[in-house]
Amino acid sequence: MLQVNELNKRYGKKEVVKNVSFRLEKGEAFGLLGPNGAGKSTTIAMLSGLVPNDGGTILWGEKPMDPSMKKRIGIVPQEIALYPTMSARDNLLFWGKMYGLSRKQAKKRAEEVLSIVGLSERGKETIETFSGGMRRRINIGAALMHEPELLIMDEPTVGIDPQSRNHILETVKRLNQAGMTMIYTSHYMEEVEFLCDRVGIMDYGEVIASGTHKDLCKRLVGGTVIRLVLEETNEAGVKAIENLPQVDRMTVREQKTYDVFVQQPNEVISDIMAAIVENGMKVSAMDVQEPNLEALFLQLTGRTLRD
Amino acid sequence: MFTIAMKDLALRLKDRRSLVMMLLMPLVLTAILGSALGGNFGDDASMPATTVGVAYDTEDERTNQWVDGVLPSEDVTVVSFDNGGEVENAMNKGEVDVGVLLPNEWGEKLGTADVTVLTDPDKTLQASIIESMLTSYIDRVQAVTETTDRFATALAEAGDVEVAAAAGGFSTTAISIAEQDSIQLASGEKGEQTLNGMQYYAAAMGVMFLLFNATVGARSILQERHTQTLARLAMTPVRSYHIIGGKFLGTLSFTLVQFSLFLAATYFMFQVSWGENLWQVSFIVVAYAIAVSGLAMMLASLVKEEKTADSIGGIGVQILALLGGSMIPVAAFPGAIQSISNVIPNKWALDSFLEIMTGTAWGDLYMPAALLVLFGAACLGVGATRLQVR
Repeated sequence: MLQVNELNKRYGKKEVVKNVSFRLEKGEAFGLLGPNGAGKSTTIAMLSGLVPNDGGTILWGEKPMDPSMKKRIGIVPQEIALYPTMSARDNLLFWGKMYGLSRKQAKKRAEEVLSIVGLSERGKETIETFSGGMRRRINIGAALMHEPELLIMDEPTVGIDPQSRNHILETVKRLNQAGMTMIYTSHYMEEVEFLCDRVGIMDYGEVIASGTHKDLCKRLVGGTVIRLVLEETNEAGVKAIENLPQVDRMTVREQKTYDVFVQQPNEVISDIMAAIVENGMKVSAMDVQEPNLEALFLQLTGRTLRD
Repeated sequence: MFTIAMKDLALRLKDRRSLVMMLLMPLVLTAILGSALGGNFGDDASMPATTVGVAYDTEDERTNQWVDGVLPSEDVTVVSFDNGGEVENAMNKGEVDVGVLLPNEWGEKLGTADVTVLTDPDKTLQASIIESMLTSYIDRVQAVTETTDRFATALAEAGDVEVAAAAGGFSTTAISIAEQDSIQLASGEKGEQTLNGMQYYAAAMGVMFLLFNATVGARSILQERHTQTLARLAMTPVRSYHIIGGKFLGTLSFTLVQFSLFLAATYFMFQVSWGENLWQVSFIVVAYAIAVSGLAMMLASLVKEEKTADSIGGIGVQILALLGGSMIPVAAFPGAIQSISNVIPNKWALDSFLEIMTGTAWGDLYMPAALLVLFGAACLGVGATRLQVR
């Protein structure tokens, strides 16, 4: 459905997007995961036609993307790009008309969209009276007015409470399950894991890894992390754990907290416990964390997604 | 394009602060200035040659202004004395026709301090004229001071423009109105109607406050850029020239609505006659609205911050309003400034309205209308070329 090839963007001397490529099939949810400044929003801006690309191609099917195809795409910008003194319904009507809906079509669709985002009862109220989460929901609703084939969302949950975030994630998941194709950018690993079939991990303008969640986690050295919080610790004990054959590596997360990377946690936990006891150390907490994209990002870049 | 324009118009009409600023303020100012200064228009009264002896021992600005600036004229010669006794002696000798004794700090306590006018029983006419000039001066200064206060207060409440700059500029120029001895405005040669002060200030305030749309229109664009709605618009299938056109039409439509309401209000509330041909008025106001809306687009393309637009707009409107004759008739300016005024769009509009009020032919309106439209188109061109959506 959409093919992005070797996309480039440069601002002055700085190359902010470098040879970004990915494919998107109909009905698929593709996530772009990366920290702030990774180039996700610039990539979205190029896909939406807001900024021209300096190199590369964007193909819709077999054809290069052109302005006439904007009707087939719904964009949810990172900012709440709505008119605060207008009601939620009027905002939806306005954006619907901008995508070519007649007044009658827009009115009908606005009611449907208000229902989708769970704000049917609040349509008359102005955006400025809404909470951050409600504004975000209307921000998404405005992109749904013209029933786009592809929905592109640029960090749609930034700065909202967990309850609103869950509501938005559930809504987006339902839309995708109903067949809507989507690109979802975020620096929240759990959102991308929850919503997306495939993920591209971006850093410094490049896609540094891409694939399904399962594929990506296979690339992790020591996919599972056993987090140990030790009450009493000593160098010999730490060395003993690190030297266990099933342990891929071990890092100090913070004082007396260690991350032990392993492939098969069940096979190694008893050996770890034995090493702790034999060396006179005490455990105050232990947590087994399944392989995730955060860990992969850490492995690939040496930084966390929120750095 | 029209959807964007209608959305902008609806947003502006819902904005109470903006409505107060753009609709009520010009009406209030027209009422105050038109009433306070109305009598000065077209007066061409003459008086016998008079020598006025003035005694004062204070050096405040207003006393000096009245004695040295307002009172002397072709018919009035002013002679200063140190005290009342000297004035009386001069009157007894026949050297002075009318004596005026100003108390200490008269200029500071204007209107409350007692002024003594010494009258020669044979020259009561001159004495009463001098007395009325004195009263008129006091009234004008007080009216303008009150107007300035109200204007500044309203601006502070509206918050849409740089209050200090706007109020300061208006204050300075308004005080200078009061200091004019007599503001003369000749009726147009082709006109058969005489212009009164209320008419002049209705046109002047209308033109001045329509000019504020350049700032308000620019603000609207900058706000949309700031909130990213402009960028979101650019992501829709709507072409960029439709977006720019829509923003331009939004300002234009509000300007026209504002003027229509102002015209109706001045007509019904103050019985201001806008002339016999409302089509001519409409013709000029559309041309002027195009100029103002174009200016808004250009301003939005030249600045990035709303505050900068406010500052530039606030001060710019003051300067343009002053040079365009909205505060003082341009005839009161020195020749060099009058020459500059000739290239100010709001002066073309004001002159056209005044001509329509006094009766004019269509042919006289084509040139100013064409200039206004060309000015607006040029500004729109600059704005459209430079405007960035993000």
